[in-house]
Amino acid sequence: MEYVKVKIDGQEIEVPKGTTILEAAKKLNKLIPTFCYHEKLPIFGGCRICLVYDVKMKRSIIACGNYVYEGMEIETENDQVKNDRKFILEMLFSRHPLDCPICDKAGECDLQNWGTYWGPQNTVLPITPFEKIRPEEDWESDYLEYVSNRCVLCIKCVSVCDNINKSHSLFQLERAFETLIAPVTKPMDISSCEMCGLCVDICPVGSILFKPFKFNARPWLLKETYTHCGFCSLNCPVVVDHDEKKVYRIRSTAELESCAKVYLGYDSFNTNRLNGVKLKGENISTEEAVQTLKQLLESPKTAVVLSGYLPSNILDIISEIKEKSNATFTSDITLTLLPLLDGYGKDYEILEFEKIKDFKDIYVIGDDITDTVPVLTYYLPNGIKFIGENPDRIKKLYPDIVNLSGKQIIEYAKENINSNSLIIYSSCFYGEDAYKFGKILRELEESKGCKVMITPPQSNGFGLVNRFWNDLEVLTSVIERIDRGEIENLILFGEEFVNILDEFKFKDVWNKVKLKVVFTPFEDGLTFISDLSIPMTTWIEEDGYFEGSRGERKIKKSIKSNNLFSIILKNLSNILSTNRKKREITRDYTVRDFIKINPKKIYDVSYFSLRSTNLSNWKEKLKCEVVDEH
Amino acid sequence: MRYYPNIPDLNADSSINLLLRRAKENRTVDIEEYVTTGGYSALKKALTKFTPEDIVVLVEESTLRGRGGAGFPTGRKWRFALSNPPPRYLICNADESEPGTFKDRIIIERDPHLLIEGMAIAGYALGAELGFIYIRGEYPAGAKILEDAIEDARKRGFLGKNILGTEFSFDILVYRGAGAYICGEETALIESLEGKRGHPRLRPPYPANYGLFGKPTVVNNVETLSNIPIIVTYESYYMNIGPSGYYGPKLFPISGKVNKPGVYESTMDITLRDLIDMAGGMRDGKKFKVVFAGALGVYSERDLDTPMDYSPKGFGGTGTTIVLAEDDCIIDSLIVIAEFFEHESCGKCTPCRVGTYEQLNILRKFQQGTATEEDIKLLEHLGRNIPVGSICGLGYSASNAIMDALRKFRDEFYEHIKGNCPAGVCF
Repeated sequence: MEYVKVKIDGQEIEVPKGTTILEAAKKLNKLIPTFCYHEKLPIFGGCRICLVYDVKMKRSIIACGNYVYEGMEIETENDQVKNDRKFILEMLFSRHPLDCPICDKAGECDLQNWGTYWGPQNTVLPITPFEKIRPEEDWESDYLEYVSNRCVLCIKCVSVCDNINKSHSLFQLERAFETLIAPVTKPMDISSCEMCGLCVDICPVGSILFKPFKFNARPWLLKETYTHCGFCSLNCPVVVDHDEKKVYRIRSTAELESCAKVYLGYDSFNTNRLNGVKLKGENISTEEAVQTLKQLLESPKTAVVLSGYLPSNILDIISEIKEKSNATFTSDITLTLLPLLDGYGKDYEILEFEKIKDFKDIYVIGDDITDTVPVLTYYLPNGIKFIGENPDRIKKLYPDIVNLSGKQIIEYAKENINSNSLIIYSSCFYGEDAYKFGKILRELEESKGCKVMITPPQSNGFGLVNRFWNDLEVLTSVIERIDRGEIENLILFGEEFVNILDEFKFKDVWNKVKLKVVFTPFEDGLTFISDLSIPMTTWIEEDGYFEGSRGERKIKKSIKSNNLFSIILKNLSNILSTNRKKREITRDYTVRDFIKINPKKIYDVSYFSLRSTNLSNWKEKLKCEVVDEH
Repeated sequence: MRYYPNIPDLNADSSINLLLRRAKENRTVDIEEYVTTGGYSALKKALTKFTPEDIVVLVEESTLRGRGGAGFPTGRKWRFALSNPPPRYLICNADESEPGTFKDRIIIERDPHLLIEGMAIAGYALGAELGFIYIRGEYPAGAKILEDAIEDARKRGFLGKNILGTEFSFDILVYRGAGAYICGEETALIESLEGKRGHPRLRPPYPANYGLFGKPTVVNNVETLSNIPIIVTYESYYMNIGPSGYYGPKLFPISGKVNKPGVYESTMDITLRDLIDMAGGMRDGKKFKVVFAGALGVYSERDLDTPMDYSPKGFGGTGTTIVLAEDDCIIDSLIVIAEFFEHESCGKCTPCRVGTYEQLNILRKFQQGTATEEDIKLLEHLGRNIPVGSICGLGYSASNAIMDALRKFRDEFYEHIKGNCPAGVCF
């Protein structure tokens, strides 16, 4: 790589050719203000706040949009630069309403910050800040709001929608001073907008607001915790804004990765949480609960249903418990991910997102990944190939669509996939089909040099499969054993069990089981019909890690919880002493007709999403639109 | 006989009969007449007698400068594009929308084949196979005329595959703008042509390196391209037209309080005074007050001897001349200019977007009688700073006229602060 020497404020630095002045200055810890610049977005260069002085050319140039050349000399703090910055801020502040006390962005507003640091400190233009100038633009949304007067027109929102999310929901209306940011279709909630919230997070001022957060909290009074999202296997980096008890919002980091599942769905953490151990509605002590569980786990007539959303550190404890118990272990992923990996082979290798661009042909097979793992679509180029049923929002990538379902997909994939391509599979196959498809994926890798990327909807599916590979029994056969009376007790982690069976079968199974124990974060679901309910922590209340489709990702505790979940599991692990009897497990992946196969949508992928008020309202709105169409 | 509506009856006169040779009368010259009066002979000559390199050298020697306003040497622009590998594109900028400018219109509407011939020769010189004409949306007849003319030229073999039996192929597409002044800026024009919002691009890279669809592109004005057949026809004799260093004919659209407003063709050795005389002098014998060079500058009585060329002290630009008389108010006219810039700023960069808006508001205060001396300082403050941070020519020149007026007609500003409009227009 070619390097060039540049001087910034007298300090010499060597940087690769093609580096912008801003990047070079960052390496020297120079503070250059920006509005329209973001490292993941194309350079816009419109705000002009990053003007610096090129000594050789004897003029001001923008730092974000100009590249360094050999012998360049830049000054970032001379009088000319200070004057330029002051002027730009003066321009931005003119007619910007000084309503910071009631602006939601106050405290994290770039205009406020840069204004304090470099600003004119007084209004140069004789204008009262309350003059209403720009026309208002109503986005007709329940979630997003646009305040035209506060907008500095950095266009990052439009850019992020076009270049990161790619749903192209925003555009610039009108021209010059009257420019407005407007949704392409109104009402916005039923447009192509995916509610990823990136436009809100990237807005440097309080122009685009998130309505559920509006007037609810002051950002500087909230604690922010950097963690990784646990709503799907991508485990995107997110920031949780919270106080001791409540989550106020979950937003994206500078990586610009977030989707509606977390951006709208954060409110599921706040309501109807289960706080204490309950036996048939009565509070009981943890000791009693541990004793009951001990008895159950010692008996071979107990089945434990694990969840793909449990973090790996919890799975480690459960793995210890397993060694000392005679219970049968199963999970809903024995219908989906396990058979797939069984067919494919245990040695699935993770593919980094940066490498996606190296592939010429990309196939997305199965469910629409904009519903199951939406952030993955931010990294896919246009013109991919989609093989599956009901493509919906993935159409934003202008894919070649092959509309097939079930076994047809397997037949098609066998013949029609180009060599050296990338195959992305999230979900859609159950049981036998998944097993077969796993085999085909392996074949395609070996014979055609393709690369496979598996992105299950569960945040820790890989962690679960890796730990319990030899001990998981297929859910269908467990249910048949319940039918035959061989299993009398059920211990559930999470509530996926409800959604995987059809209603009648669920009632039937539930009546046949004698003792039902459920670990759940919520008190408004299975708690009502279970004998023993024990609170389960979620990914915002626990330190730990997930093993998703991007490898190990740490999660960090943000909200305090009573830790009952891990205390009970640890105690249980300590007091259990039986030796697990070796049992031969034969996995029969045949799918029975009582397994319910729902098309997955972003608002009801997991039992968390189903509890979110924001998401369910959005779902209702979207459904109404479908009715109108016909 | 084709009929095109909405063509104005402009005065047109020429002392040298080059660009306006056929366009002096108000009618569209069809291909028959164009060919019988010597049309497409330059193209024939270029294709048979010259190599592309010869033509570039001819244009370089002619010192032809861009007639779109910036006055950049055309030969040098071509040379930059030629240093990059093909495919290259040629774009004709027919988006003239500055106030008072209508010189390209007269060529497009009356003598379209001159432009087409110029483009074909330029395409040959540049090794381009495709040219675009980006015509402003407000010239619907012009677009139709060009489309018809291109069709006629294709039928006669002046455009299309293997022009005049040679290896050279070239075609032209007409693209209509949607009414934005900013799309006359070359990079914004390219963005618009690509189907995007008309925002100027950051430079570097320049269009000669990275233009339409990322390919090397030359953007030339209608008048510039219309000069090419003349250069090819006259070769070194072209250097006898006009003053040293600023050869060639130039069109001057003149409007306002003159007896015969219209487009006048002349060499560049005349002065502003000569030009006003050419247009029949001041209307109704009124006293001359000021000339607005489009939206770009203000010329008072003292500047009437300004040469109409591209020298540093010359008139330059597009040659647009708007003549105002003693009963016109300078503030009132500046407001029109400021409104134009406020409306036409694309909104991409902050100084231009907000600066043009505030500039207009401050000027309005003078008209309303609420201005103070502080406002003059503010106008100067804006005028100094807007060009520094702006991306494109619109921002660079948005406060030119006001700054010029503040220098040359400062008294009139003070009169307005006192509540007195010398021309009796305001208040």
